[in-house]
Amino acid sequence: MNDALTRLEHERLANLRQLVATRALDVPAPSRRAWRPSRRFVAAASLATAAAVSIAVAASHGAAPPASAKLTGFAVQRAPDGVVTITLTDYRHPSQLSSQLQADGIPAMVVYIPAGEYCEEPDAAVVNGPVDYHMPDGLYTIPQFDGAPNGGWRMQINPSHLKPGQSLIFGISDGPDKVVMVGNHAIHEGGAGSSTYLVTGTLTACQYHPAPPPETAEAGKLPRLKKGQTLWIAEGDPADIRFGQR
Amino acid sequence: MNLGRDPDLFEAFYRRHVRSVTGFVARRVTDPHLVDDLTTEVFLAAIEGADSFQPSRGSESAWLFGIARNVLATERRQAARRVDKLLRHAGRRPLDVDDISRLEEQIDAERAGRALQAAVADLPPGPRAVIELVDIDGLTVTEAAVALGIPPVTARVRLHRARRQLKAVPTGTWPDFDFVREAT
Repeated sequence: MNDALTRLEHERLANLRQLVATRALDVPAPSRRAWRPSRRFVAAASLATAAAVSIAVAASHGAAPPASAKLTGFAVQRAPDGVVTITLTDYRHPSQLSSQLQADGIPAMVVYIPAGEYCEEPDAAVVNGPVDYHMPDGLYTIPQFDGAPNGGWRMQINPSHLKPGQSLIFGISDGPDKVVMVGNHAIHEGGAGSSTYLVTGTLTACQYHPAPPPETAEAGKLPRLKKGQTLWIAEGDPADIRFGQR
Repeated sequence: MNLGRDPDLFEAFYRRHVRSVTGFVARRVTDPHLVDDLTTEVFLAAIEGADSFQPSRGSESAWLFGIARNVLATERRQAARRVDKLLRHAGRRPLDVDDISRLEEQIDAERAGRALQAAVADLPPGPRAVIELVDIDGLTVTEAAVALGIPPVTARVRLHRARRQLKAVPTGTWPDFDFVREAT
């Protein structure tokens, strides 16, 4: 079947994929009892993953990511100058990556936005104004997709350039199209890809909702573009992030 | 088959079968939490037993429904012995309102299948297993044979016997559909 999965089916798939990935590395499997589809199973899998990634991060400063970094589909490297490089292959399941960034004190999160949905961050607000995304002097690099069939995304952050209270959100979407919700305004962005936001406030786990219909983004209601911002208009199923709606 | 060790292969497999497996479970169970648990159990068992799948012996569906039958049978045995349901409840994945609503829709959609399950409940286990897989779950006789681990000719004989026995059931005791009779 090719119908879109429900949230529950997605969540189950993410857990099972992780289990299969662990088996692929010949990591000793947990007991059959621990595989019960329960809170215990989810928690056990998360703990095992976190431990493995911590090892990968500790060993990878300034070096190529070790093989074990593939365990969860991502790697986090911090160079001597403080620049953090994130590589993400399993981009549909980035929650573990976001947890790892939080644990490492890196104020950033990565969210996957399925087609036809948007992610609500009610306690965050977008920081307006141009943001320099050219490294090494800028704040971050725009996520780059390597284009391979099983390829992934790569992005960099310079945490020392973030002001206190600021965070970055990298939204990854496989489209077909998406809409950015800033306050009550909707901006359509065409095509699959990524969106990066500099925000203030508290970040929480994504609250997914069905995307609003495209007509909510009539041209006459769009906010005025500021220097450094680009606007794409496209048709299709929208999906992305909404801020500050609480 | 390495879907037990290749996440991408597994994801494609999961997407192909998740709705049919959920439907299989929902035709036999009406508790949304249990439908979720058992659907996950089926895929866990498929991951564990992926090396045993032989395409030359039958389709993916037949293999997976055979697993699903075993998972359901195990659940029934455990349920019969279970005395502390509260402990089990505490270990479940929390489902939110939307999750439960979607599962209930699927459970509701399988109402006819459950009615037929009840109609065949009094048949002997062998013929009943075949008629469930063929007339309720939609497998071919050959696929049902693979799922049950019996020769196709045996499955065909059992199906014929089951349908013949069902013909003897007074019409008034049937649910409001009769495709089993038409299929004989």
